[in-house]
Amino acid sequence: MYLKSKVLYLYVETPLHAGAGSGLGAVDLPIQRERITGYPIIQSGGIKGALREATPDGNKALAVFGQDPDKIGSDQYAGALGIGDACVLLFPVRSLRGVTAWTTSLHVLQRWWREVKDIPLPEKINPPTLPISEPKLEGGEAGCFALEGVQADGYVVLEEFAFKVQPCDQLSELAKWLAENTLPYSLNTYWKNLLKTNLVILRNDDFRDLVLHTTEVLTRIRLHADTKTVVSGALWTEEHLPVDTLLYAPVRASKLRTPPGIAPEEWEKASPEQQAEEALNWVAKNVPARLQLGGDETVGRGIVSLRWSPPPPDKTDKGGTQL
Amino acid sequence: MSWYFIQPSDVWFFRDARPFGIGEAHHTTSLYPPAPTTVAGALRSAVLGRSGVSWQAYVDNAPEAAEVQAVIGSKDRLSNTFALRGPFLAYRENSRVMLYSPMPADVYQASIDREGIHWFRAYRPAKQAPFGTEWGDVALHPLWPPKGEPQDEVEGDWWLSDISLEFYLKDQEAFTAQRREDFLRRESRLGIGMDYKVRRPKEDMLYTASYIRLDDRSGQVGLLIWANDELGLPEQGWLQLGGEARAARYEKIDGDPLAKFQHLPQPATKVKLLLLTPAYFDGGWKPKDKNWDALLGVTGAQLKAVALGKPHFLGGWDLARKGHKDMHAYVPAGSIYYFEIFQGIDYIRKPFTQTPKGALAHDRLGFGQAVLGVWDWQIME
Repeated sequence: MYLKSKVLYLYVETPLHAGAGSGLGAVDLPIQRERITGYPIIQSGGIKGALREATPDGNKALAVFGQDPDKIGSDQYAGALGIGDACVLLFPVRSLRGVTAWTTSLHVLQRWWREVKDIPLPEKINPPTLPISEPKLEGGEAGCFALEGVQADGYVVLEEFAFKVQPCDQLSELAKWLAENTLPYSLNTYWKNLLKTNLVILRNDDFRDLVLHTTEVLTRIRLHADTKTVVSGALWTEEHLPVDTLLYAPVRASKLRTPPGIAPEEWEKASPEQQAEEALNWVAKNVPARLQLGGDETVGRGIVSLRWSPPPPDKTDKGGTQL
Repeated sequence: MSWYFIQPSDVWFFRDARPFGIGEAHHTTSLYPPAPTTVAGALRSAVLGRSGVSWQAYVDNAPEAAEVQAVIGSKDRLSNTFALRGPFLAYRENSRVMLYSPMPADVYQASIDREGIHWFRAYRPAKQAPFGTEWGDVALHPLWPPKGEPQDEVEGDWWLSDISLEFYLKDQEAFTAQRREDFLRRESRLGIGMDYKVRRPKEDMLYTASYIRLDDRSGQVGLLIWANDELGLPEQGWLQLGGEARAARYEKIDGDPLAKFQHLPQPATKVKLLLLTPAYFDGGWKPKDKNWDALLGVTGAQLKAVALGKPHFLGGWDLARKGHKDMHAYVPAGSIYYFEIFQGIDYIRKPFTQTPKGALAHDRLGFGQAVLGVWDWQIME
């Protein structure tokens, strides 16, 4: 049973390719998506592997992540940690005004809140207020809720689509809440202020269409080392989550499952809830502020900056900055 | 006992019985719904996880494990109080949780109306078959459609709502069903194993697995279980359910979604028993001793017809013994047994299952859950 949980927010700093293998469609290497909604995700296995690789080896790592996967035998045990898929919360789209709009939808917000509402918020933080209903389709025009940073004469133009701005009382406060409580500490106040002016809530169907069709598709080739010409057949397209995408992943912990003598003594003596808390805080404290997720690591893809909510006690990043 | 509604956090994965070892298989698929033993194991693990008892102490039957073993049992036997019914397929809309059952095996598609809705009816046993059989010592009757009525095979997976199930069990009218795709899709995922020392994928570690993604766009799809209150679970919380310890949110619900199926309006002598969860019999699809009276808790039960799905093989991993459980063939959910019972029966006295030798009591693990309906002979002229 999972006894304690945190939310891990992941902010995409370089295009991220969490691949689904080869595709039969126009893109050779598509990204991972949910089967029903088509929303992009990062499957939990990739996140867990990256977290494990980023944390120090040792008995605490064995207790948190489980037995070494290369060791096959009857003494295997599972770790205390359970990580969910990372789901999109904010998706950046090219905007006629404001350069980029962070888009989301009521469906995405409600799913996010359904997942994280039982996870304690940091001290003195109240829950956000979500809109009650989604923007409407009026007179054949798709509506949206938008802040002033992306509005142009009462419309928001994303890619080549225009959405008529409709009033939403909760939008401004929601943008502030997200800027203060989900963006990583590594981003300075410019980005928080930008989110407070560039948030757009689209109709569910419109958001779905944008995440399906406006991801970054990059074309790559491979060259002969000597002639610098393209190797025959070595041209392919790769899909990426764009820079500035914000995702969230629930990270849960149960009590330890290690046989006696593996986990530190102070952990073994703790109650089940304390063991779960220790496991979560150990990961949150020891994972650096940035990770690499997905493929194409050596060409700079997949750098994400992290934010844990609630933060672990006394967290400092590798640069020594108190967070 | 209380009802609980269980939903996934993202996807679920419940392995089937096929092998999936490194170097021998590259694809595995998921069952849905999971086997009762999977859910029972998750509940027992949840109770153990909340106790202060270590896994090793539980396995070793240490004195400090006595209290939690009184609730969930030991690795060898269930506690006296442990009882589970389900898991059943379920759908929640607003606050109403509806039970869904798999399509019974004795059904044919009668028509498709102008709106594209598929209508189904059940076959009935034919008193006098127009052909001879060599079914051995079991004098079964074949299932037959009404004369002159068009019938098509049921294609694909369909689920019956509780309203459709009522119609089916009354054996009077046609009924509708919903496609499995209305509730869930299979989400194929590609996986690799990474060697982080050299930062390259490992050999033989490429696989695809078919996960279960439930559709929550209009309502909430999940599982329904009925568990004894002595487990002491909080009214809501998070379980680890199935492969990869995927998270499952559970919450206690009010009402009894099975209430209207507990009793027939009056005792009937011709009853059909529809399995909602798999059942085990030591004779394959029947008990070796053919003692239906003992299974039903009645006197004078005669089996008249059956409609069976393909055997459902279930095994699993015994965490306590760190080894494979014995694999057995189960009669799948959706199978139907037609009985004639001289004294009449109006409710099922106990789960319709036996227990394999050496296994935990299947009647209290959720196997053999069934509902009763009525039937009559097919008119042949």
